[in-house]
Amino acid sequence: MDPSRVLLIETRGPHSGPGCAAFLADGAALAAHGSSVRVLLLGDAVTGAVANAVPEIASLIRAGAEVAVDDISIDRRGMSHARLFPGVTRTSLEKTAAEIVDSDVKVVWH
Amino acid sequence: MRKSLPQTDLLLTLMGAPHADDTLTDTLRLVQALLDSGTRVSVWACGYATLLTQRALGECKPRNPASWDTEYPSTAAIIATMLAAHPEHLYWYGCRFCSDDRGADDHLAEVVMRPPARYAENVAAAGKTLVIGVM
Repeated sequence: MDPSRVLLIETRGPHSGPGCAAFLADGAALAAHGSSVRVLLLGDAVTGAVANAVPEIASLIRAGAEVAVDDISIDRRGMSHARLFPGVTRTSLEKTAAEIVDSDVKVVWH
Repeated sequence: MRKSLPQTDLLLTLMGAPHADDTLTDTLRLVQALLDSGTRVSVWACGYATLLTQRALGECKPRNPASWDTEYPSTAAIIATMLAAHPEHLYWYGCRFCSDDRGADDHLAEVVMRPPARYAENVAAAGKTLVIGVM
């Protein structure tokens, strides 16, 4: 059986409580168990991609997950030149739209 | 005989207070991106998200003292514009219970209010469902 494809969309920042880190830890666990995991950090969640603000992002990347930040969310917060955690890329919600509709991809918006 | 719901590729179930964070903006960005790619989208507004399409919101938001001459469209105007631009690809539903519970009883004519007991029919009429926000 093909490993499942999962798209996790995190919208909460690390300063809003433990939910962000817990959600990303779930993603790392899925990736570690063979799922193909992509994470989109959207809205306040982009603040977690700077430096090592959320250690679970390192766990995600180590487990083979792809982690990206939404470019508009970054720009709206004046973080255009922020140094992102190594391995985190910039993308857009628009580029992610096709994946959200893909019937083979399980999507969770948090 | 009851009219069947139009089939869509994706149902977005939008919940939560509309102005608490970026959820509404990001949802509308996603809807527009999906429409631009030819995807058929339905939105079920639940909880406080039912307030978005009230006709009482008018065309514009109240004036912004920091930018007096700038007009900011209301959420109702934005949604109405999107619905008019994509009549065969975008459908907007509202939960009648949540709306009535919040005293919002006058919505855009294009918005179809449905009882929560019919929500499963909306799910069945969509290829996929994504829940956004928390009630």
